[in-house]
Amino acid sequence: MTVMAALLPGRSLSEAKAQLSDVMSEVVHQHRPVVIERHRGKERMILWRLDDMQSLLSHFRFDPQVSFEDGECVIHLRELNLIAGGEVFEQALDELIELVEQYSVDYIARFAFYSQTDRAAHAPYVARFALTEPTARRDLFVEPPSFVEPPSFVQA
Amino acid sequence: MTAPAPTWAELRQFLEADRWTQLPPNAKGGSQTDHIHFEKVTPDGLLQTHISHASHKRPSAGRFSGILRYQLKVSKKEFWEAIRTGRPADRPVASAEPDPSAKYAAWAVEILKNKLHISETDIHALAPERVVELAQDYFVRPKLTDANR
Repeated sequence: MTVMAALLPGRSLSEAKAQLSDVMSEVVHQHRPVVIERHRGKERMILWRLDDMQSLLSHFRFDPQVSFEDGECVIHLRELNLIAGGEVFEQALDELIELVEQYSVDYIARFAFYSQTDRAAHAPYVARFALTEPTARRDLFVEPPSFVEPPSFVQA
Repeated sequence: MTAPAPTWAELRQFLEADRWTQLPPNAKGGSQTDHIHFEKVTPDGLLQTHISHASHKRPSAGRFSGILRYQLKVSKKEFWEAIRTGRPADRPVASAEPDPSAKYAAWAVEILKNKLHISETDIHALAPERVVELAQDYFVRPKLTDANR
């Protein structure tokens, strides 16, 4: 048994295939990530409940910076080094979301390439964006930092 | 007076002179996008940028400065020199293109514009720190409820 498998519940591929429903229940209902291995641990992957993964990635916060100049609103997203613009803030934000979608498609399609470049650190941000429902993606770019989130008694 | 930014066609001229590779449309999420994407591998890392199909139009001077500084990694002088000579820019450049425009946190702009209904012109007249203060105040001030309305 590998070290990783000793820390996380592990299955060989053949076991996982035979017990796929049980494996999924373990991951989804018990919130337990499962490592699946083949070729005696030379190849491994992990199954993780989607909303647990979203929670894990929530610390990778986007912090776009906005500037106004010459009648154009410009947004620089430092986390992915993208620059969008528009006549007003909403237009620039719409373009930014489109650019991040395009970048994410390319990043995932060429992940092996990107992971060998200085853009390897973009991976969790791309994953966070990709795992967010399309209707909620705009919120990722206007999310306040945690220090200004309202205390619960204000929300009530 | 600030010199106008180049047209998107001139940006494309630079990318061709500087030996960037145009990415196929489907590499960036389909063929119906408004942008043409390019990349260049340098010893210091992977550079990427995009231009608009509207080749006769220009980005604002502020956007152009950002593109130079963060994406092309050349100064204005080297940009125009590459277009003039048709030869790649020398990298790394001696000094990065300055980016003098005030930067506002998007989350704070969102609060001021869409919750406090302050215009973009008025937001731009404020210091970035003041914009954050006003946005923070929005969160901590008491909210009107049926009980205290």
